[in-house]
Amino acid sequence: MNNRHRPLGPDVLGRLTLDTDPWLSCDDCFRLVDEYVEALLAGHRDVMPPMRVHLSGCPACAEEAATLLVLAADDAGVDPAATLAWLDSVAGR
Amino acid sequence: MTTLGRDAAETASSGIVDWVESLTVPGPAQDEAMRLLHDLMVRAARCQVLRMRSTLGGVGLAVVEEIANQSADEAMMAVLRKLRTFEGRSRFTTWAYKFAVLQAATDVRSRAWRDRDVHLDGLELLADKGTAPEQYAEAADLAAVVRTAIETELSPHQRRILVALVVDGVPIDVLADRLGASRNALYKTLHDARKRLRAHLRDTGHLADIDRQAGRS
Amino acid sequence: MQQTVVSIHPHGLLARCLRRQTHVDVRSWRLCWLLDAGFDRDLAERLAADPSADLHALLELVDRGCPPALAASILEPVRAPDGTP
Repeated sequence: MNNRHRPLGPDVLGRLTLDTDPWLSCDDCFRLVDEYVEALLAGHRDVMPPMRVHLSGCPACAEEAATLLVLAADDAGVDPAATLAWLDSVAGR
Repeated sequence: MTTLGRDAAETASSGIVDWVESLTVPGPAQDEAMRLLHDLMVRAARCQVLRMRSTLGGVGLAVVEEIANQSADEAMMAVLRKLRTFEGRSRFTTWAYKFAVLQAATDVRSRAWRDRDVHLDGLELLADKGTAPEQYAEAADLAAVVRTAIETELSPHQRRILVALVVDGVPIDVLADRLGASRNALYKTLHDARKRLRAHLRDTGHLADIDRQAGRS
Repeated sequence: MQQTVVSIHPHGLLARCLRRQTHVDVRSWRLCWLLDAGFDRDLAERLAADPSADLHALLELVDRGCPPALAASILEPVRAPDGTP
């Protein structure tokens, strides 16, 4: 049997055991993400905790939220770098 | 200044006050609004595809444009279907972009995994070889604890989903598509699996160590 | 230093099934998941070939103790007399 040996770092263990409460579905995340990224760009990082939790546990939603942040920032004429870095840290990227 | 085609956004957002009305009322203004909306969809889709370009093995710009335009067309339909749900909680452009971003991301992942065999080999979780000996021993212990919990506390399907998504890194929408399910349904299963693991690890007194090792308070 | 190996084989049967395929397409992939969950071959092949079959919902029912064949008939769409769903 060819087993793939995967080094286990704290990151994999952490992702397996992540606390994703309070619950938010991917559909709800999509519904709220536009409002969320604009709030982040306005400096409100502690808004909508369930969104932050969901993005920490769902890489696909996190990837999409990051792009939306970049687009919204461009429209608003603000630099997204700091907020994007924060979002990436939330998502564990 | 970014290379995101800012002219499209500026033109779109400065020329239209009420997007919903402009897109709804038939006439020349609607035609123009549709054209501008499509430009926005292409812009957003292109941005998403470019950000994920490495996932596609670094394809050329022609392929990027092809994917972006196809995704934009699909997203445009989604925006128009959902137009009445826009509540003004964000700028219309931000709200509309998310449809194109979602579609493009899904299309890129689907394409990237199209020819990849999602083999789920027997997995061996090794402690990180880079750690100091005492940390290595602790890491191996915690790995063994988590492994046991995965095998004993989760249902068979929860186990498959958890390992596929978290360890194998299969994108959730790719896995959902293969199973004929929704992203929502898989995320719920993942959430439940994690919750069960955490409850068990708490009961066995290991949760604090795992959270600490993961850098969580 | 000898490595401490902690192995996890939550789906050894599934892994072996996938490796037996010379080319893993989506249908074969779905077939392996169903066989691994205890579906008999004929039913598994039918469901694997049906893109409208929600394997996730099926496998969740089986997880809860529902026999595979019963799970399949529970989730089968109700069809009109002319055979349309």
